[in-house]
Amino acid sequence: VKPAADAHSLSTPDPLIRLAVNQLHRISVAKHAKIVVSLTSELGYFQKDTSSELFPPEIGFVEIPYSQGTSFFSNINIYHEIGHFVYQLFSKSSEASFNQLDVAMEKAIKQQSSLLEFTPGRRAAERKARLKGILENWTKEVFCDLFAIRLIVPAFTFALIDLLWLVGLMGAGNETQFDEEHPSPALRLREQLAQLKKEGWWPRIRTLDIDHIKLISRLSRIDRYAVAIDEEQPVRESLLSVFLSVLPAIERAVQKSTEHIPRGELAKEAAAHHEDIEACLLNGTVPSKAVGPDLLPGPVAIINTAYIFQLTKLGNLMDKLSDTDRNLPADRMKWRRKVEAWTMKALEDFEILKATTK
Amino acid sequence: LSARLDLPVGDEKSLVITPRGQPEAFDEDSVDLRLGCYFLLSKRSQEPYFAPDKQTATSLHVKVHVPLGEYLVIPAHETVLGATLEFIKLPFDASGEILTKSSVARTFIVVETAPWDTPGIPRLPHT
Repeated sequence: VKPAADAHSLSTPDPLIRLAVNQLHRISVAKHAKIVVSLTSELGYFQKDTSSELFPPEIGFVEIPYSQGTSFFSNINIYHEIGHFVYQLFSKSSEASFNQLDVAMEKAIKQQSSLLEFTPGRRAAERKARLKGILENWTKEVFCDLFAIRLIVPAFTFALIDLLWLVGLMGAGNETQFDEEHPSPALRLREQLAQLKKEGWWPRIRTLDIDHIKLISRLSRIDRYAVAIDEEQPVRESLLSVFLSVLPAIERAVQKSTEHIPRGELAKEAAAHHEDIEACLLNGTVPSKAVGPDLLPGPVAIINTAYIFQLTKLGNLMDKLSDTDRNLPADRMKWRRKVEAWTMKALEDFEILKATTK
Repeated sequence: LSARLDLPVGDEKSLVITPRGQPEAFDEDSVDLRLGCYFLLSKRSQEPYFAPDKQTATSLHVKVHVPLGEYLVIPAHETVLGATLEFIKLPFDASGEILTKSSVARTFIVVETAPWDTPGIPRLPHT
């Protein structure tokens, strides 16, 4: 109970969590869902599987690290964890696209003889179950990444990259490596890039001079991956082959679960209001000032523009201040926190504007 | 007010008040501000004395967030420091003064600890 009690609205980015829950409620299987946020001492984000009968099915449990508690941009990673909860809800439903995902996986497995031809016996059944479990883990991870992009667009990719850098998973040896839980970062970013292209975001961000974009571009060109699991080489290759063949079915399931979001709309909205939001931030102003009577730009456009601003133009803001040095990490952190605070305030303001707009 | 409110945010003469309230909140020379969601409540000290020093200014209170639509109960004989809902940035050539509305004063609630709003400084005024 304590980790959940500690995750009160002053120790977590409450406006971001409220936005995510509001977006969650627009998904057919999650109209009445609730999210319980708790803090963890681990440097990572988790969603507790609540498919046990002990938990009410409509409650999702998401853990965020204590160390990142109030950080706004880092915690955009919670969208991935909410994706796990949505996957869990859809898996229990009779949604056709999720059934087709299972069918596609079974079919792909049957085409890989090395996954079927184990020496008969008790161990064979255990191995098959384990391999199926690994495939499901990888499937969920890609589903959750693409789900997060549908809801919060490139801000999720930036936050994920920041997290992977922080935990040291972007080293040369790790970039292409699948483990039992996760597909390789290279494949995850390749799939995210494909989704960002479909959402109309990639043409807008590809020219940004930031390490995130260089990394996405470089890793998405990789097409050879390593699988680090305790199996023979043919089995590892077959497993990878099965997984790569079900990627289109995963994308279809993501599209189905978020079909209420028109593709490309968020990119157009952000493009139309980019200058106004950026002008607010560059002048030390909460960007809710840019929200018009039509309630545009919305929170997702504000978050993405602010994140890109923080990555590309924080120095421009700092140059306007006489007692600040853009090259000092402490000063950069201070003004990064300010940009995050203005962005969070804008989300709170948006709720008020929405409630009071006639 | 309205001419200044509608100037682009980068204009040095622009006045920013966000989120902007309903039109009836604006008068020729004043605007009604609303109470925000963040408060500082005083904390009981374990010491037998009170020293109003630099440390006390940051340690003798507890921060509270009251989500919109929720309420805050102030214990009897206590005071609370709040901030406005509105973020305000005055232009370089204007300053502001925060006053208690007479209708509020009649309930014996006193607001304003730092009533002067300085030109050019963006902030959430404390009350």
